[in-house]
Amino acid sequence: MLKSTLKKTGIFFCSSLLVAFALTGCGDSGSDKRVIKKSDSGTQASTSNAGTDVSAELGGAGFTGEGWLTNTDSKPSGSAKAKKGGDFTMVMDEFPPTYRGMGKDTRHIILTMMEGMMYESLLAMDSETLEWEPAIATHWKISEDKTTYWYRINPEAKWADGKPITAQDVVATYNLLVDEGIEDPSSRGLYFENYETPVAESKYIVRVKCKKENWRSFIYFSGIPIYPAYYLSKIDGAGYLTKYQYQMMPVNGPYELDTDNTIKGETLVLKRRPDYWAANQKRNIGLNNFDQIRFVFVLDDRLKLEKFKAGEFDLYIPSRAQWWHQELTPESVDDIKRGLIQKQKIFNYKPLGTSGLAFNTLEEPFNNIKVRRAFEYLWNVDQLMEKLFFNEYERCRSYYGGSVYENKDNPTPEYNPDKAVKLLTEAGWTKKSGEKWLSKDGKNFEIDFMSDQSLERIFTPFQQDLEKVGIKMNLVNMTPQAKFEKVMKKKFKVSFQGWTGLFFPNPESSVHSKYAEELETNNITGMANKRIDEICDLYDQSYDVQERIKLLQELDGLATAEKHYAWGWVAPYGVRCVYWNKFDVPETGLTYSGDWRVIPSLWWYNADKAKALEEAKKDKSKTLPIRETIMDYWGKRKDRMANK
Amino acid sequence: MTQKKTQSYWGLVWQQFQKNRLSVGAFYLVLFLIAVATFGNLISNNKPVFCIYEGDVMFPAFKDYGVSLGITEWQGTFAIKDWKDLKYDSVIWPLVPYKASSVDLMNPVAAPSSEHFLGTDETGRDVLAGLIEGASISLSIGLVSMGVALTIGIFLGCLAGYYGGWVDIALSRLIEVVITFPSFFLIIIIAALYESSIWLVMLAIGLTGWTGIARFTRGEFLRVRNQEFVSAAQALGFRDTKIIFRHILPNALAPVLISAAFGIASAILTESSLSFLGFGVPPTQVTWGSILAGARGSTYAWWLAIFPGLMVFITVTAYNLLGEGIRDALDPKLKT
Amino acid sequence: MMIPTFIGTTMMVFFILAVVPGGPFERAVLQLKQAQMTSGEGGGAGGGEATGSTKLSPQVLDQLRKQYGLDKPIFVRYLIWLGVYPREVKSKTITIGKTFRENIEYVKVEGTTYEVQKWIKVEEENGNIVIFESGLGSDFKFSDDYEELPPAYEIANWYPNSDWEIKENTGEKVSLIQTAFSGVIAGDLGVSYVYDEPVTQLIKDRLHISLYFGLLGFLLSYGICIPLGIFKALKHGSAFDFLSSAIVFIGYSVPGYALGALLLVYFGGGSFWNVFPLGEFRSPQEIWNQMTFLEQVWDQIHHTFLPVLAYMVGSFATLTVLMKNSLLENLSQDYVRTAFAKGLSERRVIFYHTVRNSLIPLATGIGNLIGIFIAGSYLIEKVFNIEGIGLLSFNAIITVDFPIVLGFLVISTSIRLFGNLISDMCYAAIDPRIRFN
Repeated sequence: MLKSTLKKTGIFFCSSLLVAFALTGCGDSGSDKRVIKKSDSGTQASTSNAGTDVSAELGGAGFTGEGWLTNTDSKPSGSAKAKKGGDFTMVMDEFPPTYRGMGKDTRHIILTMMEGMMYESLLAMDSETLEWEPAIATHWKISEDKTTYWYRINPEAKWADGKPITAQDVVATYNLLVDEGIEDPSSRGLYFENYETPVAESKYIVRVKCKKENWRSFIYFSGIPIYPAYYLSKIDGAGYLTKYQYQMMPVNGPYELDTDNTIKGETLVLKRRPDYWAANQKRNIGLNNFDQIRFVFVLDDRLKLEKFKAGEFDLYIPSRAQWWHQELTPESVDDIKRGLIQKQKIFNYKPLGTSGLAFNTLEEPFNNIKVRRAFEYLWNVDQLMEKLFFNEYERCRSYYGGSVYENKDNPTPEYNPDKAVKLLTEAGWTKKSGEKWLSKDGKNFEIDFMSDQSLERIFTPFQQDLEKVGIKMNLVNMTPQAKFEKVMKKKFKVSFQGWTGLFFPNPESSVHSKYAEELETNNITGMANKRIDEICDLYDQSYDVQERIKLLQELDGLATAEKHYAWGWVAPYGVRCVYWNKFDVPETGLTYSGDWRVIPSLWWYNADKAKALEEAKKDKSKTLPIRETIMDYWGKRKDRMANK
Repeated sequence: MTQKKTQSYWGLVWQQFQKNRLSVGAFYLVLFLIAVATFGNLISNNKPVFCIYEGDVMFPAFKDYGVSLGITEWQGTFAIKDWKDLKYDSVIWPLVPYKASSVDLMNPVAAPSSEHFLGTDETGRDVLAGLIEGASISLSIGLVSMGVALTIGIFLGCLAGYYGGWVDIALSRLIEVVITFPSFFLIIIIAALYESSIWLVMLAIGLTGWTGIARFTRGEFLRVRNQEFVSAAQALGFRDTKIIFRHILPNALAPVLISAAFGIASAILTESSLSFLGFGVPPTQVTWGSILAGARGSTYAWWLAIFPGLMVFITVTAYNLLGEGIRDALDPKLKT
Repeated sequence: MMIPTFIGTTMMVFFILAVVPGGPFERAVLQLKQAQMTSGEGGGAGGGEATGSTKLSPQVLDQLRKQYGLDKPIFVRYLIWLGVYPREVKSKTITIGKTFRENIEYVKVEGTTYEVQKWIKVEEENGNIVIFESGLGSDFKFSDDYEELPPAYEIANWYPNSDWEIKENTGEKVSLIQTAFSGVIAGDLGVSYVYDEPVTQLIKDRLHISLYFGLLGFLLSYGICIPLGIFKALKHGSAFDFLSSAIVFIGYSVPGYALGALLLVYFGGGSFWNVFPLGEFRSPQEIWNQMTFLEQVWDQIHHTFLPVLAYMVGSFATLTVLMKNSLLENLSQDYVRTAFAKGLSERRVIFYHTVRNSLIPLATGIGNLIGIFIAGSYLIEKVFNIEGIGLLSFNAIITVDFPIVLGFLVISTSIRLFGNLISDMCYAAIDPRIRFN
């Protein structure tokens, strides 16, 4: 109410006295509530001795790093040939509800991407070796009992306004993450339950103690983007939510929000910072090349394709194999034929993830492994892959497809209705004479399958294959939320489920028996296996990467043999995209294990190509050189071929 | 009218109706659509209309009706085997030898050809078979949802019109509330957020579409209830229900019929809109709207847009013209 | 009449939304897990994350439920939404003896937001919890009226505070809340779950777009249909009448959005003719701002043509036929014959007397049509990707963003009721027999 009156009169804050009075609405009239400071405020001045240099032992200039860990020989992922300049426009689904990186409603790909380009964390991770390398912190240290971490912050690390990054910033960022006011209980849960409040040991050294030992804790903490403390100290969580919904604090990364060109609801623009403190560090060679990265927003997938063809943005990632194969072809798009639009499919070692039919093994009929196996035999994935997906995808056969954790001995599922019928008979599901449907104890084999528009065309053939052997599967359309609720509450029989690939999988949450019968967990199928539980526990305690890989490979084999999933398909490449021919692509295409999100920091603008493109757009007779579609610098494709 | 013979009321109406050629055409078109919907199984089916298999004479497509009604069942191999794989001594296939729901992954988004007269959709389902099945779906949507609307509308209209007073005031308010309601928005909410089911869609359309009928019924009742024959019936001590249903209602039916015809048209339109958006009917159910929706995914497949679009258009137009024709026939002012 | 209608409609939708399977809470949890779970053809094609999310503890889930108000019974939720039951507007859990900054107001100066704040202190005095506050300050200096709020330990004067209520006291910590009556009655439609902004603001930002298309379509429909109807009536039975009837009738049976979708596919570039843009209100603002005025006008028309066509197609038939029939009916009336008999010119009889009377049935429909044009076009906005209130609410249904759905309902019901008022007024203006007191 106050706000509106003030705005109406057009006078902001005629007098603080009046406002203060009106706001508090306090009974005792006439009390002048000014901010009155204590006279001796100087004595309690902050302990941080800004301005004076910190001693070398406390992380200041001359710090030797003795007894600390660091990494100086990681390979830069960018190309030495890259040139700075130009701009790059890409399309995303929806304009984000905020520019914040923390707090409620920040689980949007665009926000994660933006935050990654604008804010650095304490440490960075090498895309190929998955080893830590310095970012804001130059060195780090882990205590004997593995529960306390120290980070030494680079004294050269600076905020965009020139102020140095200090240990206080780390503390303040942590405090924001655990503030209830940011209305993000899951982030609070993660950070509050795992760590005690970090302590600034000096201006440049920060220490954090874990509440329990787990190697994952180091990953989480090292990856927190750091915000400036002298901004955070002025607000609480609720204030952060409102004030920084569409406003940025000073950044410390290579890009910042270009507020002049950003139009809320339409375009988001990031601009490269000329004064980024780490611009000349080795790890940044050939990275962050575009002067400007623009994001535009189109929700409808089909519309995206049309708008890309119309030239409204530079890069498009087709979501359907059919479009890639039948519509984005030289025959149907002249701009592709003439090389104005380039097609690129890049292979690398990105963890691929999985997809498949998840069975609820706590209930009839899928509590019987024979029925689950029968379903695997009945699902003709090969036909789908050939007819519907044009062999764009590969059969998946593991919980950890395409990663080092995959158990290579897992069998490739086959399509074989005869075996399926046999298994079903053994499980007690038989057809009475003259009946169309299988039955057991007088009950027909009938299940509901949660579908939606995108799944309909994929599962209609399966439905008919099932009908042939006497299983009635009803496709029921529902919203993703409704489907999700059913899965989480374990109120389903079978569901098509995909999981993204992880560099550091978290098997406990999805296969440990303690979550088997609990609701709202990732163990949706009800996996309960003694040995798997043991592996989960061992895995969480192991700091040895090779040992963890062995453990998970064993787990993968065991879990897959339980047939809680009938595996589906997975896209075997890092990215498949089309783009307007004005960029140079490094010979790697993507980083060793990155996905399409690394493109804006990895590729660069080629002014000559851009000029040629403009000319070719006007002159229909001109053609431009066409690049090889498939890029396999990392040897992934060869690798997989050999494996088959 | 030169005719001297006494004419029944409906006879007169029919005679009037016949004067409007467009409406008569629409009437036959509606009859044709009903026929297609009813005999769809014989026109489009993956089973033969007639065959002699291992010496047995069979009419499998006919039997399909019995099967879908649950009266009879397919026995033995017939239940499992694809009829097209059987060796017949003699066979007559339907005009369209496909079922609307049969997927043919070898032939997705095929242009019209001699094999698929109107092409196929993205999972290789025959479009013509889909149109035929769509005819029966849209017909049943129209009929069921109008049935719901008629029941509610007539019932409430009777109550309001016959009793008047506070009953009338209360019900009239209710009608106004429902009219102000953005009903299609509500239908979308229901169809989008609940599990897909054709019955739910019918129910939702019916539950929001009864106001016009209720108003007409109420109006007729208000007009009729003070007439002498009603007073006479009341004086004779007839029960209210009997008076309402036996004496007044038949008089009020004519205008209700008109709004029912328009109602069917709009119900069909609503359903195809929902299917177009991907809500409403379950995914494997083929309707005109769902075929139309496929055209958005594959823009070059013009046959996915034109044919179902034409069907919706023709059907809706037919019902509208029919309604118009009935209205003109019933309108005493235009009587010659 | 307005109030019961309003309460009836909103209550009904409120309750329907409250019981749908998979509501906002599930959406929130799904979002937390979205990084991992994927669907559709992409299957497992999602990106690689460093680590997966851990299990959400029951406390976390309870917290989320509370955030969506699901800890209260549905009837109370409705009353809160209406604004006749107090809403919890602020809450804070704090250790006794500690302080926190309360944000009083957000002030925007030259594109930057500043906060007006005060410190709140919770202390225990003789077994009672007492809440104190400091004077007002700002987080960063932006005006001479406020000094920058110093750290709490520098504050000398504390005043008693009565805004906060104590909700719970665990001995060590206290939960404080502030409540207010804030609902539809007070013009507060709540905050969108998806956009994280007040619904009123979201609707305000988009209303002009819907109004532009709605009113334009509306005016064009009337502007074309009335003359067309008159002309058809005068040429009743001619070839022109028949042909235009046929076209008009075709339009009647084609839903506007379906026509729109087809037009877009065939004229909006892509596979067929590239004549019109692919929907949207106008060119993106960046391009728009660089255009000359004439280019802007052209761009707007270019973007307007197809959608307006789709807007008009439905009402076109009804209006034309209505006009024609009404005029025909009037022409056969006695007073027309009298007028002719009096020797008035044909032009005067038709245009002054008859047409005026024939407009009455059209006038009654005006209100309803305005409602349909402005708030009933979610499908057309959806098809053409026009960022109006219709698209906003249509998407809100799918994303279960219920505050927007309900907000839209309030707006569209209001527009309808307002439209009825306009109808009555038009009616009175045309028909001299009707006079309102």
